[in-house]
Parts: sequence; structure tokens; C-alpha cells
Amino acid sequence: MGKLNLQKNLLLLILLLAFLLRIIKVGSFPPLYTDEASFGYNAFSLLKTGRDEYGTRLPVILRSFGDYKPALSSYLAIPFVAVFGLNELAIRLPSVILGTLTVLLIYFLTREIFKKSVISYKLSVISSFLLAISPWHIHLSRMSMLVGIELFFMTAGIYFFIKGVKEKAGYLFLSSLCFALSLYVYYGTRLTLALILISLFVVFRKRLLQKKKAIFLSGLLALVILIPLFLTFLKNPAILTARVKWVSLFRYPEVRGRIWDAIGFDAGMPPLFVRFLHNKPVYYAKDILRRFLQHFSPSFLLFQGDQASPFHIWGMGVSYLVFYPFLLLGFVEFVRHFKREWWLILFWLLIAPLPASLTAYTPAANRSFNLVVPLQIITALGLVKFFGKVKKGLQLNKILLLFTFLFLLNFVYFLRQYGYITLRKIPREYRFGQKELVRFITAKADDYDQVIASEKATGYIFFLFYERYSPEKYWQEAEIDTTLNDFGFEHVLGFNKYRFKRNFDWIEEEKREKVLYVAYDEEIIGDEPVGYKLLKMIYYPNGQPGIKVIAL
Amino acid sequence: MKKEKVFLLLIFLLAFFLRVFRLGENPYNFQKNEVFIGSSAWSILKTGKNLNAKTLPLIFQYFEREKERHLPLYFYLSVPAVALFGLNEFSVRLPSALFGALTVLLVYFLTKRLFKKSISLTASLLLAISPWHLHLCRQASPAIISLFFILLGVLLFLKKKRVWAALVFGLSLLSFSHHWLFVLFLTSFLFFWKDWQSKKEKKAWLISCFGLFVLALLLFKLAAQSNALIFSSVFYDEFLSDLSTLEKTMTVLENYFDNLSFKFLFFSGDTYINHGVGEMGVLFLSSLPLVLIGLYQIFVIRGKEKYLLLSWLLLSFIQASFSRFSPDSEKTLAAVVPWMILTAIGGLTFFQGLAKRKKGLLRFTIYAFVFAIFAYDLLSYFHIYWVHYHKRTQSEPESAYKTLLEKVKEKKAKYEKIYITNAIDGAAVYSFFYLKYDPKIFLQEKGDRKQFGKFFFDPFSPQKEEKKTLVVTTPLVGGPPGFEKKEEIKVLNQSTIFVLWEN
Repeated sequence: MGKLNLQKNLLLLILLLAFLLRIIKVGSFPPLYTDEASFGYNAFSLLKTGRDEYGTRLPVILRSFGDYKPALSSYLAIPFVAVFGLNELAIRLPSVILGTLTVLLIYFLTREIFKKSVISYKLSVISSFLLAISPWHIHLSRMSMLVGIELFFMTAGIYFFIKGVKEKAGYLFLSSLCFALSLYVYYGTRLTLALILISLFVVFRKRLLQKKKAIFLSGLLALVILIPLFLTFLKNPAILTARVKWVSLFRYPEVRGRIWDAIGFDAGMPPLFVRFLHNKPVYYAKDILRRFLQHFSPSFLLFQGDQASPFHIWGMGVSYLVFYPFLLLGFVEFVRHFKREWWLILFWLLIAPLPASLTAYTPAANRSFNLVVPLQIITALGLVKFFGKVKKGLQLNKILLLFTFLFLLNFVYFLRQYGYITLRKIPREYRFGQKELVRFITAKADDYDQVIASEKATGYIFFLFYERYSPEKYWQEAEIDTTLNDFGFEHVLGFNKYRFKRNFDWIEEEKREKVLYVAYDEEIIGDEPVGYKLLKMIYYPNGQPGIKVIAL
Repeated sequence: MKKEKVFLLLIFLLAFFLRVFRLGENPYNFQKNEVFIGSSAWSILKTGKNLNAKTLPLIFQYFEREKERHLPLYFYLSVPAVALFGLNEFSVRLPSALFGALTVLLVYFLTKRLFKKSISLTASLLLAISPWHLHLCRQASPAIISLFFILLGVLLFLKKKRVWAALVFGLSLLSFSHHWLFVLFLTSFLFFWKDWQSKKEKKAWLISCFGLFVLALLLFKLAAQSNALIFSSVFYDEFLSDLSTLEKTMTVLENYFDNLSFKFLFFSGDTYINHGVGEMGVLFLSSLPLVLIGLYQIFVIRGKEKYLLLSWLLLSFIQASFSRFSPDSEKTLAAVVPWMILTAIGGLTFFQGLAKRKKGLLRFTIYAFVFAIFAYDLLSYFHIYWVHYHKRTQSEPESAYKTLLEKVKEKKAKYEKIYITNAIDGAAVYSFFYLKYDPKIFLQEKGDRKQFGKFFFDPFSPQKEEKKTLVVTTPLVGGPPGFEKKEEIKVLNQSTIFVLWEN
């Protein structure tokens, strides 16, 4: 009895730690990112009017910036926006809470998969501890960037599936509910989930045959839940591929260029032979494999991480250096003691980076986020096996002490890089200063006829968000240019007094009185061009001038 | 037993052929350090002195330049080659190729001592065709020589010929300074790894290794040598001076782990043109599954041999991690041996597992499939090396020296003075090499990198009044006043490297 209590308390402590690491200062750090502002404002708009930013009634896909994001994240934020108002904390709370719950879920999931093993309990606790402190999971739980929430539903779906297969069939309904919902959260899930389902069916094929009825009914339930999504796709099939098309590896000339270069060396050789060696299937296959493996290389895991904003933590990979040897050891132990049910972890591990590998932006921390769960489980396996081999006593204590010390060092390093260094090195990638900017301009706007802003420096969504702008008014005033840019995004030209210029050019700009100009410091040369007054300069944490506001 | 020897002989012949075939022509570009080695060997052969007029020196320097110092072994090894085959690209590269082929044999003998026979044959075959080893064998690379002696040293150590082992390790120290830490760590590792029969034996090994190190360090004026090593390191590099010590430390760690990245190993290799073909990794992509199986096996199998293999691998990148340019396939060349052995272990495990579990047609299909993929990879590599890389090196600027100096050689009697730009580093030494300049005369004239005989190198200012003068400049600057443009020297990609002017 006492032991059980200890176990419970330990798990509670881990959960508390996870929650604290995710909630502390989440209202102000990291700065609100564009996508988050969009989810937040849509939640606000849905709450106030039942329609999204474009006036669509109860959408299941948000048009957002033209990239058509699944809408569940916004719906989940509605109650929090209702209670706390439209602010960073409110819109991030679903991510924070579900992120913390994922830490609990990984405990139960590991427990379930390793049920027969004597190390099941240790492994589960360590896995959940590792997830609680994982830089990757902390970072993405502290932002509302879809994948944190998606991971919760995916993990829950898998957990309940296993429960359903092994125990009461009722769990299968919960599982199909979670899986169906995960499709409403993130685009990449369409591929990941399909493959995960196939793996689940392969791994548990024998037991599933005994539960045909429950499987059929829960499948039916999922289909019913998915009806609105299907209808949206039917109405506008372009949405289905809206994002995929823009990030796809095949859209970019890189690989074709490589083939072209290679063929260039082979002038005068038999064309069939040249084709045989330098062709698209081989080169693309190699490139996809290369991108896939990037997610397992030390550079991504330990040193660089994802270099794209806002996922880049300066000087940090997605996991801790001190755990790396245990990850490798974990792989060895994983293979050595392989059990049939572990296939699931292996499949999950291999499926997770697949969607990212098909894009031109790799390694990606968001598109491959599913990887975070199997990686922690395998690292935990390495840790448990390693410390299991050390004889109990003085030696073990010494090693544990050293290891704890190294871990704390690494943890402090992460906190320093994440909380202090990153915003000093790459404030722009995190859209630093938007809140201050909007507050300033809103206060001044009455004195001016127009506000002309460079879209690089700010965005319409930040004005909607921080001004809590009335959705009804916005629907009437918004001017939208629907031609997509190079990254597949639409452009809001302006609303009310605000004008947003995609290619802001200070020299070309027709300078008028009673107009506020907002741009990055270097976009307007000189602090105060002749006749102009610098009204506001937003400085970055490293003291560099960032965004400036000037007027005649 | 006999069959095995035949196989080994065949593997050696394959290795030798792949390393020697058209050695002078591919890589087409003859690097500055190769030219320098050739010229020095030529000079030693003819006069017993190097180009700086030092008799049988232990340190070789580019003329009077202070920073770059070269260890002597490769220079002396190329003397007999130059004596036999004349002063040309082939003979300068021959020691590399020859010792590289012999390394293939040593890998066989070493692996046989540690693991099974079948593994050792496979490992040596893999090394024979390894893009990593092959690439460096086909240029004058002291790393190849050093690796040969390291392997020989370990082998002698295992055969209990300790004194010889220590001496041979000493020879490796004499060839390549970027292996110094590795040799130090490896000999220390061997000390702890071995079950010593008696304390005396243990002591003898310790003393002989330690003695050699001290000797090596004293001999090579540690101060001067290590300065060059230290200043190319992350901590002293002026390009990285903005980084904090913490960031530098992280860079070193990152450099270290980059040696284990899929990118370096299987996709792009060392991207420096002289160290790799640039279109593939240092290992075959098709061997990736085998490498993974091998790594797994090495953890699982019993016996302490595996620790030697693992430590060898992990120790071999330490010194190179401190360098700014990382990963560097030449500095970490020693890693090629454990990688090959691991691949061999993985391959045999795979095929034995297959033989046990699958039967008949299925097994045959899998065999055929695996071999087809490997053959395709091999074919791609040889194609890239012999077609793409051959052309690519012909476009390297230093390739123009050969064409230029053959022209100059033809017509040098016509001119009284010949000025050659030093824009492509090493004009004097290239001229010395390709003109087969007589070292005796060179030393009499007290030639250096600015002038010997009627050849003058940057900086120069030829005068209009000097008649019968040939001036070679880069296309970026015009000819001297009063001179007429005669012709341009181009490399394969049609960019002009040199322009010839005369009056």
C-alpha cells in the first residue's frame, strides 16, 4: 500500500514539474507568434459571433493566412478566452494543459506496452519524467502551434486502442474519438494517422479479429465525427492539398538541379547509361532518406535542432546531450530484448519523421513532433538498463551523483539558451515586440489618418489580436489579396486605418502628412529621415534597434 | 586455408589496381603540398638537401614560410619513388597508393586476430573499395602512411613484439601530426586493455611508448609544431573570436558528433574537393543497414575485442574536433578501419541470419536484391570518381599550372626573364616541379619562392626596357605597360586562370 502511494506521489510530482515548466510565464514568453495570434483571434471571433475571421460559420478548417489550418485548436481555446479574455495565456492554455496530460499519458502508455516486463514501472516513470523536461516538448507545449495538441490526441488514441484491444472493447470508442479529433488539429496527421492505424492493425491483428463488432462500430463513430471535415473537403477539394502543395519537396528545384549537374558531367556517354545512374526516382529516394535520417542525427537532436522560426532554440538541439549515450544504448537494448508489442514503438518512431521528410524544410521539429514520445521511451530504456547493470552500493551512488550533476548542468544550459539567449540572438524569428508596437500605435492612431506598415515588421493579425478588434467590423473592412506568395500565404492589404505592405519600399513610398509609418529599423534608412520624427523605437533584448514608427 | 590466401591475394591485387591505375591523372589537380613533397624529394635525391638547403631535415617547410611545417616521413618515402619513376605526379603519389594497398592486408591480419576469418576477409575487401580510403590513397596523403603504421603497430603489439610496436607507432608520429592524440590515446588504451602477464612487461611498454612520445615531441620542436596545431583550433581561430568559451566548447562537441552523422557518413562526406567526390558520403549508402547491424552486434557480442574496436572509433575524431573545419575525412582517416570492420560484421550477421531463416527462392531473391543495390552503388561511385570528379578537378585553378609550365618549358630558351604571378598559391614550387629544375643549380643560386634562375615570382614589376621577357598574370590584372597579350591558359570549365604577355 505504501509503495503504491509512493508511486502515485512520484507521478504527481512529475506532473507538477511538467505543468510548472509549461505554465510559468507562458503569458509573456515566448512572444506571441503569428500563427498563435491567428488561432487566438479566431477563437475570439467564434466566441463572439460563431463565425471565424472570414465570416465562415463554425468552420472546421480555418482559412487563416491561406494555408487552411484545422480548427480544433481554436475551439479548444474558446472557454479560456471567455474566462481570461483574449490574451497569450488564454490561447496557450489548451496546449499547456494537454501537453502536461501527455506526460501522464506516456506513463500509462509505457506501462501498457511493457506490462509483462519487470522494469515496466521504472521505465514508465522515467519516460514521463523525460517527457516532462524534454526541451522539444516544453517548447511546443508553451506555444499554441497545433502539434502539441495533436500529440495529445494521437498518444491518447494509441493508448486507448491498446486498452481496447486488450481489455474492454469500450476503450476502442474513446480511441476512435481521439484519432478522429487529431485530424481536426493538424494537417500532417492525415499521413501519420493512416500509417499509425495500419501499424496498430498489424501489431494487434490476432486480438482484433476477436473484436470485430467493436472495431466496426468505433470505426463508424470516427466516420460520423469526421463528416464535417469530409464535407469541407468535398466543398473545396483544394483545401486538402493547400498546405502540402506548398511545402512539398517535389515543388523545389534542388534535387532536379542536382540531377542536372550530374548529367552535365556526362556529355558524350550513352544516354541510357546516364539515365540509369542519374534519374529522379533514385535521387528523390536518396533525398527523402537523407531528410528522414536528419531527424536522428546528433546535429538535430543535440546541437542545432530545427533552424526554422519559431522552433529554433539557439545552441540547443531538441534533446539533452547527457541523455544521448542512453538513447543509443536504449536502441541496442530495444533490439536485444525485442517483444512483439514493441513493434508499435518502432513503427511510431519510423512513421513520425515521414511527413517532414517529404517536405523541403528539414529537419523539422514540428512536423516530426510525434518522434518525441518514442525517443523518450527508448532513452528511458537505456537509462533503466544501464543503471540496472551497475551493482548497488557505493559505485552506483557515485555514478548516479555524477550523472545527476551532469544532467542539472545540461538542464540549466537549456533554460539559459531557451529563456535568455534565444531572444537575444534571433528576436525577429520570434516576432519580438508586437505587443508593445500595437499598444503604442493603438494609442496614437486617433491622431492620424492612416497607418502604413511593412508586413515584414508586423502583421494585421497582431492588430486584430491585441486590439480585440470587433470581428463584425473586420469582415466589412478587410481588404484581402488572395494571390498566394512564394510560401503559399495570402495577404491582407488592410482594414480600418491600417495598411500592410508586402513589399514595403521606403524610397517609393508616397510620403504624406498624418500618416504613421511602421517598419523594421533597416527598412527606413536613418533614424529620422529629413522632416520626420521618430515616434517610437522598439529595441530587442540585445539592445539592437528593431521596429520603428515614424511620421512627418 | 589455401582458398583464403588466394582470396586475400585477389583482394590485395584489386586494392593495388584501384589505387595505382592512372594515378597521375585522376585526381587531375596536383595540390600544392603534393608538388612540395615531389620537389623536396627530388632535391634530396639529387643533393641530399631540401629546398631550404638543409641537409636531411626532420621538418619540411615551404621555403621560408614559418607557419606550415610538415613531418618528414612522406618526403623520404617518396625519394625512392622519384628515383625510380622520375619526377612526376605518379611517383609523388605512389607511397600513398602502395601503403594504402598494404593497409588492406594489415586490416585482414588485424581483424583475423580479433574476430573471425570471414569477417577479416570481408573487412579487407571493403577497405579495398572504400571511397574514403581510396580517395586519400590516390593523392600524396601522410594520413595514409600514418594509418598503415598505426595498424602495423597494433598488430605487432598483439603479436607481443612490443618494442617493434613502439617503434612503428613512432613512425606513425613521424608522418602525420593530426594523428598524434589518437596514437597517444590508442597506446594508452592498449596499456589498460591488455591483460599483462607480469609487471615488468607492463612497465616496459609504458616506458617505451612514453619515451617515444617525448622523443617525438623534442625532435619536432613541440613549440613550433603545436603552435600551428593550436592556432587552427576552434579556441584560437580569429574567425570564431566572437564566440564565448561555452559556445566554442559546444562547437567542439558538435564537431565531434558530426563525425557520427548520417550526413557525413552516407550523404555528403567531406565537402572539401581534395578530400571527397562531393556527391556521396565516405561510406556507401547501401552499407547503412549493415553498419547499423554491425553496431548492434558489437554491443551484443562477448569478449573484450569489441572494446578495442569501439575505442578506436571514438578516439579517432577527438583531435580533429578541435579544428574549425570539421568533419575532415583526412584528419579522421583512422576511423575508416573500425567502420569497415563494423560493416563486415553487420554484413556477415545479415547473410548468416538470412541463410538460417529463409530458404529457396525467397533467399535467392533477397540475395539478388541486396547485391543489385550494392553493385549499383559501387558503379555510381566509380562513375562519379572517374567521370565527374576527374572533370571537376580539371577545373581547379592549380590544374592550369601544368599547361602553363609545359608551354613555358618549351619556350624558356627564348626569354631572358620569366615573371609568374603567385595568385594561385605556390608558383615557385610548381615551376620548380614542372620544369624539373636542377636542384644543384637551385641551391647554388640560393633560389627561394621569389626567384630562381630567370624565373621571378610575385611581387614583381617588369620594365618595358627589359627585352625578351615573358610575364604571366591572372586575368584580373592587365598586362604591364608595353607588353602584348600572347595567350590565355584556361581550365576545363573555360575560366581563364593565367594570361601570358611578352614584349
